[in-house]
Amino acid sequence: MWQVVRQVLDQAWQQFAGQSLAVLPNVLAGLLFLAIGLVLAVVAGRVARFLLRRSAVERQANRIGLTTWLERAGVLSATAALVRLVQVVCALVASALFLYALDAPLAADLTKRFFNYLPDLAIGLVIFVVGILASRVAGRRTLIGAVNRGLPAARLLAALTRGGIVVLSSAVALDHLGIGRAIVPSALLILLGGVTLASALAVGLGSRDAVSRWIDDRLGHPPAQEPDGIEHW
Amino acid sequence: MSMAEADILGPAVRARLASMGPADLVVGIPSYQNAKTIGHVVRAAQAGLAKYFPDAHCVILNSDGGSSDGTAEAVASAGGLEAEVVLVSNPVRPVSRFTVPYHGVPGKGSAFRTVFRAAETLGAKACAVVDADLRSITPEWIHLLLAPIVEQRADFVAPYYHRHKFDGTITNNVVYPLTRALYGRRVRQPIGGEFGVSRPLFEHYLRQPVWDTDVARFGIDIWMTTTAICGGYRLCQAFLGAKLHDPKDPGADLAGMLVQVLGTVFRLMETHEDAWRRVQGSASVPVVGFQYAVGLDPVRVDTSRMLALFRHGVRDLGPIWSTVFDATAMARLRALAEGSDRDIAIDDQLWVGLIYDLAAACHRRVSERADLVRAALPLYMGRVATFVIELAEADAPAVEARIEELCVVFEEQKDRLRRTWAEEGA
Repeated sequence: MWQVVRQVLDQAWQQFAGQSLAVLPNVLAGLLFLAIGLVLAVVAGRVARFLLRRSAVERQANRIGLTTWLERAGVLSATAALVRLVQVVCALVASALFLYALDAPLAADLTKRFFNYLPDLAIGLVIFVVGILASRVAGRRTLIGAVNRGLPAARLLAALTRGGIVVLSSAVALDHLGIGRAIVPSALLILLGGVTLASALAVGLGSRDAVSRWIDDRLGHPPAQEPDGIEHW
Repeated sequence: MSMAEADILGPAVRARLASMGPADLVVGIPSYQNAKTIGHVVRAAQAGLAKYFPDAHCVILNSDGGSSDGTAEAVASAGGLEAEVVLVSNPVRPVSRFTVPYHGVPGKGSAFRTVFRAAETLGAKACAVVDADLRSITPEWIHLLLAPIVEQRADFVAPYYHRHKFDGTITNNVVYPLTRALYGRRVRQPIGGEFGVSRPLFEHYLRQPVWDTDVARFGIDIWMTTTAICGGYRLCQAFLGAKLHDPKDPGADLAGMLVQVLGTVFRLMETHEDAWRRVQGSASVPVVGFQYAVGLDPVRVDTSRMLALFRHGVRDLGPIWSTVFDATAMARLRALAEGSDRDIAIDDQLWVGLIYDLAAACHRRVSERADLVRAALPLYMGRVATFVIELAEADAPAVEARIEELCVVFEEQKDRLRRTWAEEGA
């Protein structure tokens, strides 16, 4: 009995060892590609940063207003964005080589699918980034407008505006990528609910004085103060 | 002259101008829905021209933005009674007057452009422009705005009014001191609305490539003043007494108006950077006309609402302000907002620093210029409240002296503007 078990274990080990030894060179080669890729990403990033700092990229980005847009998106500078792009490309190439080393047919299939998917991915990314930027601009304008009108819930309104646009743009981007096809209608419903809530708050808070005056009139209280007579210019 | 420029007046108006023959003086009245008041303005202008320039061929031109309330009819039916009364024993030369609908970008600037183009076509040597909603205009205003030009003493005549001490707060706290510190000339009402302009100057205005920009919509007043100063034209101010006009819409968007005025001032700083960088200190501008005290109606002011808006701004707009103002200024604003109403005082040093930093932030495009200026409304209201509280018991000369002190601080801190502008614009 014990002999049979031992034979099975030996066979299993031999098969495992044989197959492992067969793929080990591929794994080692893949890991080597990854390591070289990471080192290259770091080096290429430093070289790119060095060259970009000596060029007029930052000034040109400033001139055309790109820096402001990047800052709004949380990226420190155009140089930082380009350096990160170089590093990501190096990492992607290293990852592709890693896959090729492991299993060439699988890697070829994945690469083909990736490149087929790339245009949709790029468009989805653009939709998302534009949505983020638009949400920041709209949120800021809502905040300023609400504060200038004296609405106490200014920050809430701004947050709802920002959130609504982010939800909508994310939903559209995901829909474009074919992820969660049912998300768009749901997101729109959420957005509609948010807008309704924001509008209700805005109208309620904004017309508080009018309602108060109406109640005062009904109860015979003195009318509220009239606006200032100052002419600002 | 391009085809587009040639067509500003249109063939019908050109034909009418041609039929009038050359004119010596033109009075322009830009209007939009001013049927209630424009008749009085036309009569005053007509009487002024007849009384003070009897030998000149004069034209009154109403440049209208498509009014539907009968403004053009009011101009056409405005009688010449005052002219006859004023000139009982003198010959009266008829004053031509007519309405021209202006074309191009809707706004006061386009109306001015039409007036200047008509004046150029008529060969006028001087042109005055007055608002259509004035209630206090008299025939003497026309004389005061045109005589310095006719007598070749000036190319640009700005108005000089007596106003209630709490009126014109944006002029008193920002536009006048800032324009004076930047360009070195003390034009007390740089956005007054009434101007006299010589032929060389209005031809210079017409040549500027601004008539399809925001200047055509708003900001024409400060643009004209700044362009006259930076162009080295001879300046003069005309004392016109009190300025009373139709009440403005109380619901008008103050933030929007602030954007129009301050946005234009900041944009002009970009255009004339070389000019203002060189200027140090300021020089007076002569005032013509007999100055007298004017009785003005009291103005109702509620500083508590202004201060509430200031506090609201400090509480909610901090992240936006932090991109414009330094940490010291932000700390001071927060400390002020935490105090009681009586403790809140945006003093001259702080206020001037805020305005200069705002201008520099607009220059380096921290954010959209309009957004930055809109976000400054609570600060402006805080400053106005400070001004009102401090000068509640002061008389007109004391208020004027106080504004003079503010102007000096603007001039003293100008190096700070030069520095921040250069650092942050690089």
